[in-house]
Amino acid sequence: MGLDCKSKPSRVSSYKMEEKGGVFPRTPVEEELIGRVVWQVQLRWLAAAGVLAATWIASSILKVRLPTRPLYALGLFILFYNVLFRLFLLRLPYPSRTRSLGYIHRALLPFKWLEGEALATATIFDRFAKVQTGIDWVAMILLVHLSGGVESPLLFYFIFHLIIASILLSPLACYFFATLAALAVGALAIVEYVGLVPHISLGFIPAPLYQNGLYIASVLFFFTTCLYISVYLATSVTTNLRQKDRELLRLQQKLSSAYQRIQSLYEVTQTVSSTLNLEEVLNLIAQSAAEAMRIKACTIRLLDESGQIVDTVAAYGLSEQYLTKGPIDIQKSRHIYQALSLGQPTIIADTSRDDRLQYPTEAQAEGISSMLCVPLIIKSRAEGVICVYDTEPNRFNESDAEFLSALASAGAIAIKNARAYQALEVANKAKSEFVQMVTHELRSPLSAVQSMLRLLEQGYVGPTTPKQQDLIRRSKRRISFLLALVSDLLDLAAGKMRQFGGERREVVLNATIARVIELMQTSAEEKGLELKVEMPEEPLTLMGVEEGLERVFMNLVSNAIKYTPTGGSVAVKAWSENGQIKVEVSDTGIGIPEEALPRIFDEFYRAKNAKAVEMEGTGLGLAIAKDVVEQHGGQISVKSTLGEGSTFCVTLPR
Amino acid sequence: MANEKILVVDDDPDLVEVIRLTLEAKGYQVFSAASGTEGLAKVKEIQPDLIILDVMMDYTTEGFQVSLQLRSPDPRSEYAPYSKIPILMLTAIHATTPLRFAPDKDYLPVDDFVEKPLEPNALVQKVEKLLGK
Repeated sequence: MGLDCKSKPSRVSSYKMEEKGGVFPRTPVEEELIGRVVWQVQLRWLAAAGVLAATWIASSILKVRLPTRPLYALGLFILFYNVLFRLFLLRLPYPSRTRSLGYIHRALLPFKWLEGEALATATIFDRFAKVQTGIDWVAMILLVHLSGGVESPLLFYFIFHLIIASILLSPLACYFFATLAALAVGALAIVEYVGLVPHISLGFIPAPLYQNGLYIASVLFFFTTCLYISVYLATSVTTNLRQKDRELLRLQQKLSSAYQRIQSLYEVTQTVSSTLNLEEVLNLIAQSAAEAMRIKACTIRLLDESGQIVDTVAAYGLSEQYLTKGPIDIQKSRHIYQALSLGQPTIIADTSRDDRLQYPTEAQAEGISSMLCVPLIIKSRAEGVICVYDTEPNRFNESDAEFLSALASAGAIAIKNARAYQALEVANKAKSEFVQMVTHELRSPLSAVQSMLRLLEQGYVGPTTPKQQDLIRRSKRRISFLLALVSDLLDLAAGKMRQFGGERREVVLNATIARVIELMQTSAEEKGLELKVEMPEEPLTLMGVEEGLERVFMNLVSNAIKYTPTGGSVAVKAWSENGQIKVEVSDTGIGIPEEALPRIFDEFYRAKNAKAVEMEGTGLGLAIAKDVVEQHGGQISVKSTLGEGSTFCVTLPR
Repeated sequence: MANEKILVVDDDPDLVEVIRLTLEAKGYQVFSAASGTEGLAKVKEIQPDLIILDVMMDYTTEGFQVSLQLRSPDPRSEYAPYSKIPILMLTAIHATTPLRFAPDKDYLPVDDFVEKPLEPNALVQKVEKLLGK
């Protein structure tokens, strides 16, 4: 494209970006420049046609005396080489109007005269433009010769050719072609003057000016100066244009890079909030940092308990050997110490010249030339560092430090969350263990007493009087109540604790309900009750805690059985409606009096008629059920008619 | 009804007493051990026909550990000769949580369960079943 050498590195790096799959559009100016080279070819059709047509018109219609054959030959020659150019273009996937980009270098193999690097599209088109211009020059000189040499009006045409050149080529190339034109015309004038080459006169020019030395001199002088001035003016404009183009390119690169970084940051924050697996998150952050910054490697290190050594908790892009080179003492790794103590990013521009490294030889061996370390600040304390490494020296700057600091914030959040979650799990576990212990301590003695009472009752330690039997029975009842109460209280406590981190898994409610029915079948039969169940074929699944859900239906069904007199029935119906699961437990029992309905789910509340039937209820069954249902985001409600029965309805979202 | 030897491994003396009274009334010989270790030693000493094992004694898995030791898959284990003795496990868990224990070859190699608080008749039934009566 004629951009000078200084711009080459950016061109190469832009191509490198394309290779790596980065989305990197050409600037509109670039597109246009390439388009103009194409346009140069297209214009030449007109030029060729023009030469042929003008020759014909001039000689046939205007009756001007012209060397028609050579002129027609020239026209055809122009046509011919333009066809070659056109064919060449076909082999290059140039953007034209559809802006398709492609890999150029493979196409160049049959054209060995195009030397040099075929890497950048720009270089190819630059050379192509030069070649076209060069051949045009040949055609032009011939044309000038055939139309009168130094007397030819076509001398002016060099000017617009140079203007085209200044758009396509570098200023230096344009001055070169200008000089070439001046020399060529000068040489032509001289050889015609001297007679080496026969002058071809235009019929309408009266005096043979070509032999007039002064005439030649003045034409050449003004011609040459005109060329140079034109080139100067045109190239000033185009140089300006190219500077703007460069600037635009640079801004585009910056934008693209900034966009990519935002993308990475976004992805990282998404992942950070989606997983509590600390190792996974930190490794992802390390990888994202390395990929977004397009560098060799990244490590995340945290201070250990002593506060003197940093442990590498995540790494990407480094060899095992380097990672296990030895403990990193912050007193010796001064760049890390700086980052931690100042809370600021620290850059090592060249590992071979920096004495802050603890392991300089290992770093060099690994191929690390520059480093950037950014502190990880968790709860206002610098607890670690994120370091990035690259093979080129002086790779890292302010904006890199900014980006890495942003990633470090995400990392800090991830670490904080993971630690909080860990602490929660520990606390949870401690609570569970406590509950288990309490369960055992409360239940064992009650269990033992109950077992002994049963022995007594059943005559295993000798006969008992009716009065003794009565007292034993009463004692048994109270113990049963206590056992049930302990159970329920622990359930309630466990249920409330589950809010803080119970693991939810996929529960198939069909199976849960089926199990409850199975367990309750015997009690129903013993009481002479019918226990019906109605469930759909399709599995009713939801995310939840299986234990809790089973408890809900156990309580509902056992209540139904408890409060339904012999001969009655209990029915369980489950179905799916509007994306929710509905379960109904209905009975033909004693029902719930109206004044008791609003309080029926309260802890320890028992309706009067319930107490009459069964003295020993704890009053916790429905409270537990309600708690669990609500934890699953559902609702529980009841409809009842005193003396006829009750229906409990549970709705659970899927 | 020969007087088979039954070993009860449980740290609750009251419960041991209940079991003793129940089973002695049916003519069995009842021996007891108050911990897992004592239990394993007594298995070797007495060579009982049935072992009644409590789930949780001093620590949560004491009962399980005893059964795992007795039924160790290693043929050279010192308890190999006793691995065929039927084991009845006492547990309170069924009544209180939906967790269902089932005999499991690898983790819970016992033959049956009986719930606490004990129902004497149920206990006798299960004992007789395991002794093949």
